Amino acid sequence: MPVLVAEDLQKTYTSGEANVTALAGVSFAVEKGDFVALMGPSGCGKSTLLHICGAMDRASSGRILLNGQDLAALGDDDLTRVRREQVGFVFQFFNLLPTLTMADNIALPCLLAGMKGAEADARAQALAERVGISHRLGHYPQQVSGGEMQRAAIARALVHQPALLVADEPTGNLDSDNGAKVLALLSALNREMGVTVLLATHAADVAAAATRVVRLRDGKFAGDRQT
Amino acid sequence: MRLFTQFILRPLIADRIRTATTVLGVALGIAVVVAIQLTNASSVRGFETALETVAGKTAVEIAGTGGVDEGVLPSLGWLREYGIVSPVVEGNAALVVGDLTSLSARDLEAVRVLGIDILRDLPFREYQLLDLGDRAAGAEATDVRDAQQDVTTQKFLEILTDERSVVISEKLAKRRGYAIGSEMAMMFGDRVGTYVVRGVLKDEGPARVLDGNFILMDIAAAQVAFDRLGRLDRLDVLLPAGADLPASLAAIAARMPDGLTAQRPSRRGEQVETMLAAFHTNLTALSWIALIVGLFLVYNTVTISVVARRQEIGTLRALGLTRRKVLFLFLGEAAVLAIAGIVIGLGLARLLADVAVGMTAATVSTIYIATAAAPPDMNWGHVWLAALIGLPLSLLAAAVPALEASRVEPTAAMRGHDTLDMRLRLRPAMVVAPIAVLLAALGLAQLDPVNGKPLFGYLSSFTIVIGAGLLVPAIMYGLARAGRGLLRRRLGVEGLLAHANLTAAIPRLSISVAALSVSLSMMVAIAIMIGSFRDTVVYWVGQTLQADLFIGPGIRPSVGQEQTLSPDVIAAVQRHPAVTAIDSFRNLDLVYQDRLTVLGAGTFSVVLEHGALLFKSPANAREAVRQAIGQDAVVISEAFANKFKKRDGDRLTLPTPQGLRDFAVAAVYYDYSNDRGVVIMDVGTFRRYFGELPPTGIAAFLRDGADPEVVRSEMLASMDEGHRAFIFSNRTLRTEVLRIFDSTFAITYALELIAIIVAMLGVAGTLLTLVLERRRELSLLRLTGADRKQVRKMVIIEAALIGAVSQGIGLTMGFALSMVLIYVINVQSFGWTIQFHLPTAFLIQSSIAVVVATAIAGVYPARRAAQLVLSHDE
Repeated sequence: MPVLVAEDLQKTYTSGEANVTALAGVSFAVEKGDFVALMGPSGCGKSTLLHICGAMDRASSGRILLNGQDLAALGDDDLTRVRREQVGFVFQFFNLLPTLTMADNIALPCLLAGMKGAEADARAQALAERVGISHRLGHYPQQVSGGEMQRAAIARALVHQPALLVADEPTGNLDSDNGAKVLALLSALNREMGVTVLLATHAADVAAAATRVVRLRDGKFAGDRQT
Repeated sequence: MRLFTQFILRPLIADRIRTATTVLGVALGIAVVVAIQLTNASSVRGFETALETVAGKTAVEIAGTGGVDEGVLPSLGWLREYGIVSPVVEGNAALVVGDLTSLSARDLEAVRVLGIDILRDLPFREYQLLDLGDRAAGAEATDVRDAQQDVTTQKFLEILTDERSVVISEKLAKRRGYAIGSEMAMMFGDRVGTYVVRGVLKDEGPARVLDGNFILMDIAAAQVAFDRLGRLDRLDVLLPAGADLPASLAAIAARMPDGLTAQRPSRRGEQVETMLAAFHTNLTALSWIALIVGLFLVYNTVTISVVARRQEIGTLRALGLTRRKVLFLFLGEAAVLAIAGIVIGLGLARLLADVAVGMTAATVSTIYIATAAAPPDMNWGHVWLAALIGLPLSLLAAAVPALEASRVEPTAAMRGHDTLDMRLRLRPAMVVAPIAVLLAALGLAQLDPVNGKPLFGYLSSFTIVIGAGLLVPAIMYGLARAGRGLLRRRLGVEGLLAHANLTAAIPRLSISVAALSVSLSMMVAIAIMIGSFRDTVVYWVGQTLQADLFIGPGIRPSVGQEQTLSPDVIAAVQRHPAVTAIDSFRNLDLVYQDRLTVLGAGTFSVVLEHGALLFKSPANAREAVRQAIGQDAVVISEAFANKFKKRDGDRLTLPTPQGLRDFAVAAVYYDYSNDRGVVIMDVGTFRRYFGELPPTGIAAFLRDGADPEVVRSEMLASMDEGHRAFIFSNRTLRTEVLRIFDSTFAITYALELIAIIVAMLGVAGTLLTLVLERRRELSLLRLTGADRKQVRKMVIIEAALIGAVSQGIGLTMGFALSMVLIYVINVQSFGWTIQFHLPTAFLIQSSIAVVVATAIAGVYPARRAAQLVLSHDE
């Protein structure tokens, strides 16, 4: 069964009296263990699609199924629970909480889900070692490099073992060296741990790291190919 | 101006709750300060106005301790060389307006009685007698208004014919429905008499005293009523037009016989003002706390404005707006808030003043003077006071965030990623400097008063507040380091997040916490001071109220020393078979070193036998007092000793009717009944110098086994209809003493409560600032899986933690302030020794209440935080 199924997704934003269509009927599915890159130019709707897939936003119409559950039918609290239990996020600007240490940032999804502190800490420690930042756990985000922040963000996104990892331009704010390292890490995690990844990017070299590329143009499906 | 309207005024109008909260905070602060000014003025100005009104054209008044013996009048014939002389008997009485048998305060109304020799007095004061015929004055008000004025000496002579005839004010006649010929009952001391209204005065001159509660009598009738036969209260002197007042006063003073002094009438007002100064200064100091906390709200609101509109500021800066204009925009916002607060505050002030006067009038009249229980009208002076303190201080409060706004970098702000790193970096100076300030406070507390005022005590308190306020960031830093594990363990992820958020915002929070801590510390200090004071008074009452019954005149002793007991009442007490001993006492106003104090006469032998005084020094005080019986020796209260730097073994020179006389100080005793200072002499000594004066009270000791309540009832029953006395049993008097004590401090708690409410508004404002400042992080938290409930819980924990930390600092700061209050300010203001006592139960209860209240203050910001729209790329 696919992890994620999108059927005829439409999203319209209202700005004053004008309606802006961000998604105009997009359908696709992501199988467990896929590493899918959503590609397209700026404004094509890839971030909107990513947000809807990650239970951050709602579609105006259409269906979105995550592990068979229809997200469109869920209220705010249930969407929050879905994000907390089934989705991991990696953003362009890392978006770690500046008030928490790296360790607490990584452990946060587990703690929010009500896991015992020691268990959450142990998981955070293990993932930090896996992504190579265990020496930075006591630091605050603003005290480490961008690459380290993004690796911590990846660890945070995976610490609660989500069904889907959503990454929005994860290398967009990194230099090419750190960007390459982050992509390599995502590929490795996808291969080794079977993590399903849905990544949005406008850069071909980033999309090349994925096993499948879905193209969008003007809010519509524009192609799907395996790499 | 257009920019100001669009950028400042519109958002202020749009965010009604925040604007209203701030304006209310400033308004409350301003209102409290002005209300206390009005309240203080009501007691002093009320007295002074009464004084001036009654004084009329009097230039010089001649008086002595205990009044003027008519026997000396022949030797004062030379006074006529200087002007016209009018003898006066003046005092307070009670108009009986309800059921006389119940003797409740509701049934009595204080009236000012002036006894004059009308033939001599007309040039001094304005008496406009209304000709009413036999018509009712109150029944038909038009009668009074239309009445013809007929002011003639002859008319007065016709109506003030006997000792039951009185002339009342038009206002009193209308209010109570008295007509010419109406009978009215009045109480003078313990004596109830029926008087007949013979005339009505137009509401001018002395008739305006005590809001019209004025009675004019013939001087001889007043002497009988007040039981002052052969005595006058003073002689008023009217100088001819063009006379040189200072020269005449000096000349008259130089020729005064022993025991009499000459002074301007206003001098009495000045003495009362001095007497009340400490009480008023303390209230004023308290009122300022609410204002300072209110100004903190201005700081908060402008900070919220700056935080919420960083990007707009950045855009404006990018478009060419100068830093200076940005600064003025936000200072303008503070000015708008301050002006609105001042206007509303002035409106509220009058309301608060009415409440405050109600709360303080009982204290002032119980302990100090009889006064009209209504604040004076507000004038332009109060408006200026409000504007001059409210506006500049608001601008000062807004200066920090306004400067922060002016420093916003255009590019960074427009991107929305320039939120300041608020994490505190602790430097040694942040600990060393506050400790140095606190040590300075300790030094200041050691210094002597200036002109009898504890200026260095106040300065020490202020310095403690500053020092502790400066120490707040370091304390929060220390607590943050120590508290993380505990919070995460006890309160879960919300505790961890709340801790992280607060730790990261220590510099921003420090001002909120310091402001709340200051309010709370004052509450703690005052609670400790009052708790200690109350405990001390309970002990003192237990030690000194030894008699079984206390008998006083039917009118509350508050209305003055002129209320005396008559021989019939004394006899009724003495002849009761259960009475084994009585100690009669007499109080007089005593002007010592130009300050109003109290001279008392008591029976030393009875005092010694029954232990009715608690001595402070010397060690063998009882023996010293025994030796003082019959000698020119006195015992003085601790307040007197401290005020005038006297101790046992010293000598006092006191004004007596026989001139200045020296008295040895035999002992010093504890007395918390007044702070004016009391000098007590044995009744035999008193009689030798002051003659036979009726007592103002009696303490009766009963034989063993006698039931005080039964004896009390029997004594009351044995009094004839013409006499009414208050008889307290020992138990009821103790209760009464503590009731008066508690009502005295009710205003203190009320003022503090206002300050705390304002501070709570401040906490809500601060949290709102933090929520707005952290909206990106909060949004991210929600994306990471935090539900609304978790976000709300986190913000409420933050609020409760702010309350807990503030209360913790407040408790410590309050403890230090209470030391200064008890051992410095109190001793230097009032001269009392208070034993330190910690009201533990109250402090625990109030601490819990503060934490709960701050948590409640966090509910609105928590809701705002939980409602933030999800977005990760703001």
